[in-house]
Amino acid sequence: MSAKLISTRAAYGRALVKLGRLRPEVVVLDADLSKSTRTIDFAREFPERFFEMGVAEQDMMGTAAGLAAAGKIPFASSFAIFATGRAWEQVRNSIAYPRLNVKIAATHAGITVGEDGASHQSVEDIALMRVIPHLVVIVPADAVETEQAVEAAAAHPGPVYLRLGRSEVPVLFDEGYRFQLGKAALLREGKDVAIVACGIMVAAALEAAKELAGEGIEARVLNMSTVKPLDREAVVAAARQTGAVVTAEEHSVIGGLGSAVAEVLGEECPVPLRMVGIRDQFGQSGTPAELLRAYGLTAEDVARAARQAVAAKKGRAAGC
Amino acid sequence: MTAAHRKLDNLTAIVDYNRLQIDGDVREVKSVQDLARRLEAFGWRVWEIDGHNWQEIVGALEEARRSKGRPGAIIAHTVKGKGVSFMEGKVDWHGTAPKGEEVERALAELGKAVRP
Repeated sequence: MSAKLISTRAAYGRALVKLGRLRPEVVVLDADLSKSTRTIDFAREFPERFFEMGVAEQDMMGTAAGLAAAGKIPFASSFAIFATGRAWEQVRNSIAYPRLNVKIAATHAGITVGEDGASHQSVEDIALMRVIPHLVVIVPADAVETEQAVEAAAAHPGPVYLRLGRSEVPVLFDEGYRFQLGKAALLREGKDVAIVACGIMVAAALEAAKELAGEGIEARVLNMSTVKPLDREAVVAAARQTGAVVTAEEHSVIGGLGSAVAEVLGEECPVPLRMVGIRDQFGQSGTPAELLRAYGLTAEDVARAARQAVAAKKGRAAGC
Repeated sequence: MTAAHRKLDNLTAIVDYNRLQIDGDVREVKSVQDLARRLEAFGWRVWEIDGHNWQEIVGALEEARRSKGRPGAIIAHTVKGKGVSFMEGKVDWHGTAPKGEEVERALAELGKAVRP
């Protein structure tokens, strides 16, 4: 693991410029946050392909839908709460329902937005996007995966939601890493418990797995960067082979990755499950590190959940 | 706002202004006050016409096509249910489909209106 720190929004800004050079049909829209979402990098290089929409997210989604209908590949960016919350109905009816080729790339997801507090944080966006048919939902874990996910989103014919963060996070992967849309990435093998994580919680999951190994618990770690369509096979295999599952996300446990995994396990392989995530609460103002501790989203929290899941296996018949 | 900001003079909106919405008269539900002045304030060029007169419709569309620098809005004053005596101006028909004999009567009246 490299100690290098890069935010996924910074990686997005860079990836957009690269993509813009390769694909002239890529256009970018923003709602008065281009300096924060980093679409400003694209705007500087391709001013004629950048559309400043003002604080009008619903209008931005409608315009992006129109541009897609005219053959462009629009990337529409804002903070996650505004892109998915304020403009939800436009995303549903104008983009997803007609299956238009719009990429909604939202930054400032989760609580690591930090000091701006609950109004600008988003712990509901995965749920809001996952529930809409046709939408693909991607939550990259680091800068390397973000750059590949931007390319994959552009290559995928249809609507995509890309969830990105504000804070600097460790670069986990080297250039050899390959993001595959719809596939979980196995980052660590283990037989006692499987930790299924997305976004910034992948780093915490890897750290937790190390800690658990010292106690004799071998944890498998899956990076579930595509939350939808969920890699059901990987989830069921993890449950069958380890007998206990932990999910970890910087999002509400209602409707997010934990829910998606629980839906699959409930139908196909019910094993002990513990969810690490935000427990039906709003965020608040604080530094990212303070907030991660306050909401139980540290490596220690993941390790504790894994121990509980392993303990819950006792007395149960193995497998499913 | 976007259309005016970007000076989209190849864009023309037609408002079917029948003054009724599903809960009642627009002026009662939540008035838009003076719609033409509101649109103008947002940077649109506005024409007001009788929405049941095709010559006025074509005339306004032609003027809108010639107009430069601003998007155009044609406020077409209409009567909801026009041509069907028992539907005209009645808010109840905003979201209700006619059934059976009502369909027959409505189509008969419309047929007469089209082929007098």
